[in-house]
Amino acid sequence: MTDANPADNPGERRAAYALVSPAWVAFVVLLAGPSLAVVVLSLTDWQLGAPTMNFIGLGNYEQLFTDRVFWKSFTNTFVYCLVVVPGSVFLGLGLALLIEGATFGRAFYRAAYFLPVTSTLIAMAVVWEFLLHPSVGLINIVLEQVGITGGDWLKNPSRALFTLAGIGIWQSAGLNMVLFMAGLKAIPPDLYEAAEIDGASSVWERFRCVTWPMLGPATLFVTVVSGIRSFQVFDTVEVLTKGGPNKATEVLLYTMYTEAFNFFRTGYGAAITVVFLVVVLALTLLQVKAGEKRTHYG
Amino acid sequence: MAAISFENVRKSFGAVEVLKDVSLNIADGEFLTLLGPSGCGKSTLLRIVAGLERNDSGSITIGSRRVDALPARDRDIAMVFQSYALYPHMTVAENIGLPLTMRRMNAWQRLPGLGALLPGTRAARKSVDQDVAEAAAALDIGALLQRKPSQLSGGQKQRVALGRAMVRHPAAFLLDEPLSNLDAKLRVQMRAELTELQRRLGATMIYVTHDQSEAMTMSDRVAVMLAGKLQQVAPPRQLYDDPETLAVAEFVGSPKINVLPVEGGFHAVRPEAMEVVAADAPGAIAGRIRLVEHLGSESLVHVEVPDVPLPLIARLEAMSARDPKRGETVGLRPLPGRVLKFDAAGRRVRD
Repeated sequence: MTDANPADNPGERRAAYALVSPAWVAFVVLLAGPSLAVVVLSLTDWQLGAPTMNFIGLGNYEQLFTDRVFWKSFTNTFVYCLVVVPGSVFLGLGLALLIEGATFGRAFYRAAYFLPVTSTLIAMAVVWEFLLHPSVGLINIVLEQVGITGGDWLKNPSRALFTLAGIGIWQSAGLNMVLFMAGLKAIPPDLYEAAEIDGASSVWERFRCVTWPMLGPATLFVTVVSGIRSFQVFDTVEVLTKGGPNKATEVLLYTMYTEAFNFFRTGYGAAITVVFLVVVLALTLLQVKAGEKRTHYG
Repeated sequence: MAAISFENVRKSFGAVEVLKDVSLNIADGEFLTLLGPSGCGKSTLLRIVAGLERNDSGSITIGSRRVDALPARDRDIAMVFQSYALYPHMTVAENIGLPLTMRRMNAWQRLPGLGALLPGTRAARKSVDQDVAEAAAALDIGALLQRKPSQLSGGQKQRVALGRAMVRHPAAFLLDEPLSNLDAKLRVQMRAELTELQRRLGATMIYVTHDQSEAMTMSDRVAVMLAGKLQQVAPPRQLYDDPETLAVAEFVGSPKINVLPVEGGFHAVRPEAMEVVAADAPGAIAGRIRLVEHLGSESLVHVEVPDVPLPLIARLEAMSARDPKRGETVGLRPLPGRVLKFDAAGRRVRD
């Protein structure tokens, strides 16, 4: 009976609202407001700078779902993700395990592999463009030495998207590596010792019995982050291919960018953004839900 | 089950020598406790027996085999860790069964899904399940087999860790402070259960602890270790009544033994061997009472004596006729024959 609910006390209520308000303001101004604005814009025919706009309902979406370029861009983005996520997650894990097991030079390798994360991707894309040049690029020159004709990495329609995915893996493996190294540090050494005594002492058994299951939370986090980051691919496309050749590397954010800022069809661009936001949200929810069941927080 | 012996075992970590020439024989089926303060090297010694650390010199024999060069998995020992070290993603049954699956099934048979199709997998799996059920029944955790460690209490995790150690019928059990993560009440209960289990299995156990009540209540013999050296190895009673060195006398027993500096050495008297008498009684050491602790069945009387650095403590039965008060001046007198004598280096001097 004496446990009065603090919410019944008007003073406590005011204090509670006051304490929550900064978080709410930030949420509304930075997240909810802009998202809502995008949703509203996607229902109009507004063009950037135009004095008037008309509400056209789902017109933009109707046009979008019958647009061949949009579908191409949509599938390209998924293919890109399906290559980059596993590629950068497993490369990151491999690097983390190798560096963790190394007896010397840890700091050097850690820094070396983390470098692509800290560098500006647009600047790095220029370096890649040079490396990938069909005749004077380092990659093809090296390939030629071993008798392989490299061909054109960025102008070949069946290859360009995968070339960009390769750059994407190079760029994000370092971040994944650092996250995995943090995860490895958190594994109690007792578990490895117990595994050793129990007979799970080979490298593979140690990995299977201790390392991999204990990295569950880290793997989940790394996968979600890599998925969202690779879904946002834009810089390399803009610098290296402009969506070409023949829309082979057209991705969602690039399509959105050209529609909204090259053709000034802001309403249409907003509709693409809404699709983008829905997919990112769905991916996150799906992965978190799926991950919760298989993750062990000790 | 097997006997274990160490001969002249030494170990250093960098410049720090943690084990200084340790030799010890442990009989088959004996419960031996390594007792010492933290940092004395007792855990290192245990980890050397387990094969988790290598000794710099000396030899370790389990049964008739010299094991110094063998990896942990081939030493036929089991270990229980302070943290329990259960695999969080496996069920209780899988945790207990792991040492068996690792030994009775090959890498292909252990593969999930595919392994079940290979010849021999079913029979091996069945034998593992049977042994797991047997161990679980012995520890009274049969109902928990399908749970994950995160769904267990501290005491239950402790039993699972014991089950994982027992299931393989190892030559010896190594226990590294296994009860220190449990609450006080459960600790006392597990103490009794563990002793009972050891007797029933007839197992050789090496038990590491810094808690002297665990050492005194459970062990056949206690090996007191201080600063990397074995001070004394003896049954609990003897360790308390007949210590070889002043250091052992001081480490074992609570409250601490009273130490009086005398010509050429020390006299040490247990608190219960101190009589509280009149200050001017013959042979009494006079002092002022600083504190009286009433513990129910007994009282501890702390007496400040000039020229002795720590107050002397006398243990009085609650029924005692005397009722000393704080500030009173009294005399303390050792009971006849209960004075332990040590030389200046702290070694016991016997008459």
